[in-house]
Amino acid sequence: MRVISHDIYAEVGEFDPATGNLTTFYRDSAPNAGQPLRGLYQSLGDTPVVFYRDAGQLRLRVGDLVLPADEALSLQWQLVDATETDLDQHVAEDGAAELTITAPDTRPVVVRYSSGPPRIPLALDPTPGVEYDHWDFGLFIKNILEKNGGASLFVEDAPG
Amino acid sequence: MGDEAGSPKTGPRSREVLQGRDAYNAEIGGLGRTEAQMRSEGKSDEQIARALNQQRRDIGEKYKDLTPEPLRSEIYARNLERYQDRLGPTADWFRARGKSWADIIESAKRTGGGDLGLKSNK
Repeated sequence: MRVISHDIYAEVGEFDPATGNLTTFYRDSAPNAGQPLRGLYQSLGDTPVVFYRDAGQLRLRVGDLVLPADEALSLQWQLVDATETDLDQHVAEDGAAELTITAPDTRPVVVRYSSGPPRIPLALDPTPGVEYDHWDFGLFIKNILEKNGGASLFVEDAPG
Repeated sequence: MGDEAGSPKTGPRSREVLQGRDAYNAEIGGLGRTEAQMRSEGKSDEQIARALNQQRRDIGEKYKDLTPEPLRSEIYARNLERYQDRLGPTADWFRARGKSWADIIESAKRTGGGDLGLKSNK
Protein backbone atom coordinates (compact mmCIF):
# COMPACT_ATOMS: atom_id res chain seq x y z
CA MET A 1 0.00 0.00 0.00
CA ARG A 2 1.04 3.58 -0.63
CA VAL A 3 2.18 5.50 2.41
CA ILE A 4 3.88 8.87 2.69
CA SER A 5 6.45 10.33 5.00
CA HIS A 6 5.03 12.63 7.65
CA ASP A 7 8.14 14.79 7.74
CA ILE A 8 9.65 14.78 4.26
CA TYR A 9 7.30 15.68 1.43
CA ALA A 10 9.56 14.32 -1.28
CA GLU A 11 9.62 10.81 0.20
CA VAL A 12 6.90 8.19 -0.13
CA GLY A 13 6.78 4.48 0.61
CA GLU A 14 5.37 1.12 -0.33
CA PHE A 15 4.33 -0.66 2.84
CA ASP A 16 3.47 -4.31 3.25
CA PRO A 17 1.27 -4.61 6.34
CA ALA A 18 1.75 -8.38 6.48
CA THR A 19 5.52 -8.21 6.86
CA GLY A 20 6.06 -4.64 7.99
CA ASN A 21 8.42 -4.08 5.10
CA LEU A 22 8.63 -0.45 4.05
CA THR A 23 10.42 0.55 0.86
CA THR A 24 10.88 4.25 0.30
CA PHE A 25 11.12 6.20 -2.93
CA TYR A 26 11.49 9.71 -4.16
CA ARG A 27 7.94 10.90 -4.69
CA ASP A 28 8.56 11.83 -8.31
CA SER A 29 9.71 8.33 -9.22
CA ALA A 30 7.54 6.22 -6.93
CA PRO A 31 6.05 3.18 -8.70
CA ASN A 32 2.88 3.38 -6.58
CA ALA A 33 2.08 6.99 -7.46
CA GLY A 34 -1.38 6.15 -8.75
CA GLN A 35 -2.49 4.20 -5.71
CA PRO A 36 -4.70 5.65 -2.98
CA LEU A 37 -2.99 6.92 0.13
CA ARG A 38 -3.27 4.42 2.95
CA GLY A 39 -0.89 5.66 5.62
CA LEU A 40 1.83 7.86 7.04
CA TYR A 41 5.20 6.91 8.44
CA GLN A 42 8.13 8.35 10.28
CA SER A 43 10.75 7.05 12.68
CA LEU A 44 10.37 8.19 16.27
CA GLY A 45 13.91 8.05 17.53
CA ASP A 46 15.15 4.67 16.36
CA THR A 47 11.67 3.18 16.12
CA PRO A 48 9.92 3.02 12.75
CA VAL A 49 6.24 3.89 13.05
CA VAL A 50 3.56 3.43 10.42
CA PHE A 51 0.01 4.67 10.93
CA TYR A 52 -2.20 3.11 8.28
CA ARG A 53 -5.55 1.71 7.28
CA ASP A 54 -5.80 -1.92 6.24
CA ALA A 55 -9.07 -3.68 5.43
CA GLY A 56 -10.95 -0.68 6.80
CA GLN A 57 -9.19 -0.76 10.17
CA LEU A 58 -6.75 1.90 11.32
CA ARG A 59 -3.59 0.32 12.68
CA LEU A 60 -0.40 1.45 14.27
CA ARG A 61 2.84 -0.38 13.68
CA VAL A 62 5.53 0.50 16.21
CA GLY A 63 8.70 -1.38 15.48
CA ASP A 64 7.49 -4.96 15.08
CA LEU A 65 4.33 -4.49 17.10
CA VAL A 66 1.01 -4.03 15.28
CA LEU A 67 -1.93 -2.58 17.20
CA PRO A 68 -5.48 -1.71 16.18
CA ALA A 69 -5.78 2.07 16.40
CA ASP A 70 -9.22 1.96 17.97
CA GLU A 71 -10.83 3.15 21.18
CA ALA A 72 -8.89 0.57 23.21
CA LEU A 73 -5.58 2.12 22.22
CA SER A 74 -4.24 4.69 24.66
CA LEU A 75 -1.51 7.18 23.83
CA GLN A 76 0.17 9.31 26.47
CA TRP A 77 2.49 12.05 25.29
CA GLN A 78 4.81 14.34 27.22
CA LEU A 79 7.96 16.37 26.85
CA VAL A 80 10.84 15.12 29.00
CA ASP A 81 14.07 16.83 30.02
CA ALA A 82 12.86 19.98 28.29
CA THR A 83 13.56 23.44 29.64
CA GLU A 84 10.62 24.87 27.69
CA THR A 85 7.27 23.09 27.74
CA ASP A 86 5.15 25.73 26.00
CA LEU A 87 4.75 24.14 22.59
CA ASP A 88 4.75 27.55 20.90
CA GLN A 89 8.26 28.06 22.27
CA HIS A 90 9.66 24.54 22.24
CA VAL A 91 12.26 23.46 19.69
CA ALA A 92 13.60 20.07 18.67
CA GLU A 93 16.95 20.60 20.32
CA ASP A 94 15.38 20.94 23.78
CA GLY A 95 14.83 17.62 25.53
CA ALA A 96 12.64 14.98 23.93
CA ALA A 97 9.11 13.72 23.63
CA GLU A 98 8.01 10.48 25.20
CA LEU A 99 5.09 8.59 23.73
CA THR A 100 3.63 5.75 25.76
CA ILE A 101 1.41 3.38 23.81
CA THR A 102 -0.89 1.12 25.77
CA ALA A 103 -3.18 -1.54 24.33
CA PRO A 104 -5.03 -4.50 25.82
CA ASP A 105 -2.96 -7.64 26.38
CA THR A 106 0.22 -5.84 25.40
CA ARG A 107 3.04 -4.44 27.47
CA PRO A 108 3.16 -0.64 27.16
CA VAL A 109 5.59 0.62 24.57
CA VAL A 110 7.55 3.79 25.25
CA VAL A 111 9.35 5.65 22.49
CA ARG A 112 11.49 8.72 23.05
CA TYR A 113 12.41 11.04 20.24
CA SER A 114 13.24 14.58 19.23
CA SER A 115 10.11 16.72 19.05
CA GLY A 116 9.21 20.03 17.54
CA PRO A 117 10.53 22.34 14.86
CA PRO A 118 14.28 22.79 14.61
CA ARG A 119 15.82 25.92 16.13
CA ILE A 120 12.94 28.32 15.46
CA PRO A 121 9.86 27.90 17.66
CA LEU A 122 6.37 28.22 16.24
CA ALA A 123 5.98 31.51 18.13
CA LEU A 124 8.36 33.00 15.59
CA ASP A 125 6.97 31.13 12.60
CA PRO A 126 4.27 32.99 10.65
CA THR A 127 3.60 30.05 8.36
CA PRO A 128 -0.17 29.82 7.90
CA GLY A 129 -1.70 26.67 9.28
CA VAL A 130 1.45 25.34 10.92
CA GLU A 131 0.82 23.30 14.06
CA TYR A 132 3.17 21.67 16.52
CA ASP A 133 2.08 18.17 15.54
CA HIS A 134 3.35 18.76 12.02
CA TRP A 135 6.71 18.45 13.80
CA ASP A 136 5.84 15.53 16.05
CA PHE A 137 4.41 12.38 14.49
CA GLY A 138 3.59 10.81 17.83
CA LEU A 139 1.56 13.79 18.91
CA PHE A 140 -0.07 13.94 15.49
CA ILE A 141 -1.31 10.35 15.87
CA LYS A 142 -2.53 11.04 19.39
CA ASN A 143 -4.37 14.19 18.29
CA ILE A 144 -6.01 12.47 15.33
CA LEU A 145 -7.24 9.55 17.41
CA GLU A 146 -8.55 11.83 20.14
CA LYS A 147 -10.36 14.12 17.73
CA ASN A 148 -12.50 11.64 15.86
CA GLY A 149 -10.78 8.31 16.10
CA GLY A 150 -9.17 8.93 12.73
CA ALA A 151 -12.46 8.22 11.01
CA SER A 152 -11.63 10.46 8.08
CA LEU A 153 -8.08 9.27 7.65
CA PHE A 154 -7.05 7.24 4.58
CA VAL A 155 -10.63 6.43 3.67
CA GLU A 156 -10.90 8.19 0.34
CA ASP A 157 -8.60 9.00 -2.50
CA ALA A 158 -7.13 11.93 -0.65
CA PRO A 159 -4.11 13.58 -2.26
CA GLY A 160 -0.95 12.03 -1.08
CA MET B 1 19.38 40.40 13.11
CA GLY B 2 19.93 44.11 13.62
CA ASP B 3 18.28 46.48 16.07
CA GLU B 4 15.56 47.26 13.57
CA ALA B 5 14.45 43.69 13.60
CA GLY B 6 14.83 43.22 17.34
CA SER B 7 15.61 39.94 19.04
CA PRO B 8 13.76 36.74 18.20
CA LYS B 9 11.94 36.99 21.52
CA THR B 10 10.76 40.54 21.10
CA GLY B 11 10.23 40.82 17.35
CA PRO B 12 10.45 43.80 15.01
CA ARG B 13 9.99 47.24 16.54
CA SER B 14 9.79 49.82 13.81
CA ARG B 15 6.64 51.82 13.18
CA GLU B 16 6.50 50.44 9.64
CA VAL B 17 6.57 46.91 10.94
CA LEU B 18 3.89 47.63 13.52
CA GLN B 19 1.71 49.13 10.79
CA GLY B 20 2.47 46.10 8.68
CA ARG B 21 1.29 43.81 11.45
CA ASP B 22 -1.98 45.70 11.67
CA ALA B 23 -2.49 45.48 7.92
CA TYR B 24 -1.58 41.80 7.95
CA ASN B 25 -4.02 41.01 10.71
CA ALA B 26 -6.71 43.07 8.99
CA GLU B 27 -6.28 41.11 5.76
CA ILE B 28 -6.54 37.82 7.61
CA GLY B 29 -9.63 39.14 9.33
CA GLY B 30 -11.03 39.76 5.86
CA LEU B 31 -10.89 36.06 5.09
CA GLY B 32 -13.96 35.58 7.25
CA ARG B 33 -15.82 37.97 4.98
CA THR B 34 -14.55 36.12 1.92
CA GLU B 35 -15.92 32.91 3.42
CA ALA B 36 -19.29 34.52 4.10
CA GLN B 37 -19.43 35.91 0.57
CA MET B 38 -18.59 32.54 -0.97
CA ARG B 39 -21.20 30.81 1.16
CA SER B 40 -23.80 33.34 0.02
CA GLU B 41 -22.85 32.42 -3.55
CA GLY B 42 -23.45 28.76 -2.83
CA LYS B 43 -19.83 27.67 -3.04
CA SER B 44 -18.94 24.28 -1.60
CA ASP B 45 -16.80 23.74 1.49
CA GLU B 46 -14.03 22.46 -0.76
CA GLN B 47 -14.14 25.54 -2.97
CA ILE B 48 -14.08 27.81 0.08
CA ALA B 49 -11.29 25.87 1.78
CA ARG B 50 -9.09 25.87 -1.29
CA ALA B 51 -9.70 29.57 -1.93
CA LEU B 52 -9.03 30.63 1.66
CA ASN B 53 -5.96 28.42 1.95
CA GLN B 54 -4.52 30.04 -1.18
CA GLN B 55 -5.48 33.57 -0.11
CA ARG B 56 -3.95 32.99 3.31
CA ARG B 57 -0.71 31.90 1.69
CA ASP B 58 -0.82 34.92 -0.64
CA ILE B 59 -1.14 37.19 2.41
CA GLY B 60 1.88 35.49 3.95
CA GLU B 61 3.87 36.20 0.81
CA LYS B 62 2.69 39.81 0.69
CA TYR B 63 3.79 40.45 4.25
CA LYS B 64 6.87 38.26 4.26
CA ASP B 65 9.02 41.25 5.24
CA LEU B 66 7.44 41.18 8.69
CA THR B 67 9.64 38.18 9.37
CA PRO B 68 13.25 39.36 9.45
CA GLU B 69 16.17 37.57 7.87
CA PRO B 70 17.73 35.13 8.44
CA LEU B 71 14.65 33.82 10.22
CA ARG B 72 12.52 33.97 7.09
CA SER B 73 14.94 32.02 4.90
CA GLU B 74 15.32 29.29 7.50
CA ILE B 75 11.55 28.94 7.86
CA TYR B 76 11.13 28.85 4.08
CA ALA B 77 13.77 26.14 3.82
CA ARG B 78 12.18 23.89 6.42
CA ASN B 79 8.74 24.48 4.92
CA LEU B 80 10.03 23.37 1.54
CA GLU B 81 11.25 20.09 3.00
CA ARG B 82 8.12 19.40 5.02
CA TYR B 83 5.40 20.77 2.74
CA GLN B 84 7.23 21.18 -0.59
CA ASP B 85 6.07 24.77 -0.45
CA ARG B 86 7.93 27.55 1.27
CA LEU B 87 4.64 29.22 2.25
CA GLY B 88 3.47 26.24 4.23
CA PRO B 89 0.93 23.43 4.03
CA THR B 90 -1.45 23.33 1.10
CA ALA B 91 -5.05 22.16 1.18
CA ASP B 92 -3.92 18.83 -0.26
CA TRP B 93 -1.27 18.41 2.45
CA PHE B 94 -3.96 18.87 5.08
CA ARG B 95 -6.35 16.49 3.32
CA ALA B 96 -3.72 13.75 3.24
CA ARG B 97 -3.66 14.02 7.03
CA GLY B 98 -7.37 13.68 7.52
CA LYS B 99 -8.29 17.33 7.88
CA SER B 100 -11.82 18.25 6.86
CA TRP B 101 -12.59 21.17 4.57
CA ALA B 102 -13.99 22.94 7.65
CA ASP B 103 -10.67 22.36 9.44
CA ILE B 104 -8.81 23.92 6.52
CA ILE B 105 -11.12 26.93 6.47
CA GLU B 106 -10.57 27.53 10.18
CA SER B 107 -6.84 27.05 9.82
CA ALA B 108 -6.68 29.66 7.05
CA LYS B 109 -8.35 32.24 9.27
CA ARG B 110 -5.77 31.89 12.04
CA THR B 111 -2.65 33.98 12.25
CA GLY B 112 0.74 32.70 13.36
CA GLY B 113 4.05 33.91 14.73
CA GLY B 114 2.94 35.08 18.18
CA ASP B 115 6.20 36.68 19.21
CA LEU B 116 6.31 38.58 15.94
CA GLY B 117 3.03 40.14 16.92
CA LEU B 118 1.20 38.28 14.17
CA LYS B 119 -0.94 35.97 16.25
CA SER B 120 -4.08 37.89 17.09
CA ASN B 121 -6.86 35.40 16.58
CA LYS B 122 -5.56 31.93 17.33
